[in-house]
Amino acid sequence: MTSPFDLYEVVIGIECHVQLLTNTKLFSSAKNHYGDAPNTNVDILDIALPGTLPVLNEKAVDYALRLGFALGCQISHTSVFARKHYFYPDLPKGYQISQYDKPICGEGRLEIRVDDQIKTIGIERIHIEEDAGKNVHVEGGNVSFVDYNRAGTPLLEIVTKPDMRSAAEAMETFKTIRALVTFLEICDGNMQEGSLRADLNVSVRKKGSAVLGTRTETKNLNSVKFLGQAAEFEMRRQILEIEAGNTIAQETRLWDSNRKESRSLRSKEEAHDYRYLPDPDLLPLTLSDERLTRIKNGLPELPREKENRFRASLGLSPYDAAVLTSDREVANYFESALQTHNNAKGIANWIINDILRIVKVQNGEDASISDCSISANHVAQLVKLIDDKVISSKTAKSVFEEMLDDSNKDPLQIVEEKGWRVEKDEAVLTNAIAQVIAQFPNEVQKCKTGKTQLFGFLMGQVMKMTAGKVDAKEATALLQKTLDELP
Amino acid sequence: MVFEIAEVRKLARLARLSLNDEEVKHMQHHLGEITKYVDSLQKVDIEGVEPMTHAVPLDLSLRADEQMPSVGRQGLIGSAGYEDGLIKVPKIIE
Repeated sequence: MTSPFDLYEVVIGIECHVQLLTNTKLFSSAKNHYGDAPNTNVDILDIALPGTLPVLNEKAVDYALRLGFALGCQISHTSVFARKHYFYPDLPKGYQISQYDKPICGEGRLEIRVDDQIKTIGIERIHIEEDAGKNVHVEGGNVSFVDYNRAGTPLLEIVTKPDMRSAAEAMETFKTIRALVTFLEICDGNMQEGSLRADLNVSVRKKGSAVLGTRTETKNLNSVKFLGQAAEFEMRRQILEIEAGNTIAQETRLWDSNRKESRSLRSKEEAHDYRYLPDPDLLPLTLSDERLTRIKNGLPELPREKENRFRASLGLSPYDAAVLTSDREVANYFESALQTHNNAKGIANWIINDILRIVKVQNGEDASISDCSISANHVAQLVKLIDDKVISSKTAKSVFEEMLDDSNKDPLQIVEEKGWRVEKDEAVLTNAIAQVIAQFPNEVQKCKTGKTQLFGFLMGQVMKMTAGKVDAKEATALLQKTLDELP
Repeated sequence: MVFEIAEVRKLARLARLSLNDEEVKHMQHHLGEITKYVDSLQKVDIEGVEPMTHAVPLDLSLRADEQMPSVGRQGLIGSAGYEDGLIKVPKIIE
């Protein structure tokens, strides 16, 4: 029997809020910084004292344009700020300054990679708006608290078209946006601190239907994992509702990451009557050709371009290139190591298999490679020692362990202190082989008469005798040659 | 355009204004007069005219991204209830 889930198709769009890395707020000169003591970065404008007027931060405009160009958006030469009205303690003015019918960026597109296939997700628009303050709830009591440090923080809202057809695609879109904004250096991409968060729009329809179902919006998802779980949950919930003969209500939902489910936010109907109007305090924003050209020409290499270059000119595998460009810090680490020693494949392997694993062990699942105690320079030096045949790959693992214990020591220093240099003196190897042959005549005889599995045993003895300091490849070749030449 | 009583009440609720029956009637009349005045604009032929969002033909001036001293906590203390650096408000129920 077919499961009802197979009869439906999910349709997903996301809205991403990107906190900008400006020094100051969108409309005031107060410091824009996460984690400071409550209510210390607050200007009179941020708390809406009478008579204050907003003055737009040009950096925020430039950052919006950077993202707009990177997503191939239509750029509006003239855009308009609008007031979005609602009453909430975290919004002292009683309205949020946003953009409504004339946003700074119009339609564009984003390429994502799912199962090694490229899919294009349409971008509906990008607009500039200000963030609200932060409400602090306490258990019991009859008061709440507000910290206005976040009030007025510059945000970009990216609205995608409903082009995603699975939770995996939605997750990949969110990830790709994160990579993009960090490469553009407009956002730190820190989801835990709320620098990047997403709202998820989900609807379902019978496969083959061209009509969109009623959608719900799940708000404030601050991790790729939660976004995926929320999409999966909402898709199943809607299908079960429809199969049970119910209709889907257009509503806002809140994700509970502990219970792994969302619940409806029963807000009154008029809460969505925002009464947008052009903000009379702000003139239309007109962009000069000079500004547009300057921003466009100043764009850094984008993740996809970097990925293609890593594959084409450095010869990396599609998987390696994708991992190394999924995060700006990782790409920087890799490229910085390449400056020290030009072996892309070797360095890529160490970063992907060892460094990225270790950094999670050291600093938790969401850790950044910049938190790693081992520098890119030292990783490159380690690879160089292997390539120069100063140490074997096996010894390199031990050197790596030592580097973890003391990140100040460079790999060569460790090798010298431990006496781990590969013996270049061929006599050492020849001697060791001679001794092994003398010590195990029976095994040697059997090996020569067909019990080839004993070759491994003899190799082991050679390596043991030389304390692993000879090159394994050379040792194998020489042992084989010596055995062959025995009568 | 004539305003319905229900519309006036809805607007008042959205603006967080508490109006009694008499005030609602009063506002119904005045809002009607205002929209009647604005209605005269509807008669103007605006075919091919760009929508205008501001009366002054100026461009928005921008501010450099430089930090200035802010009022900070001291500036806030006088205006609100305060505890451990946080502003105290009536309990928010979500």
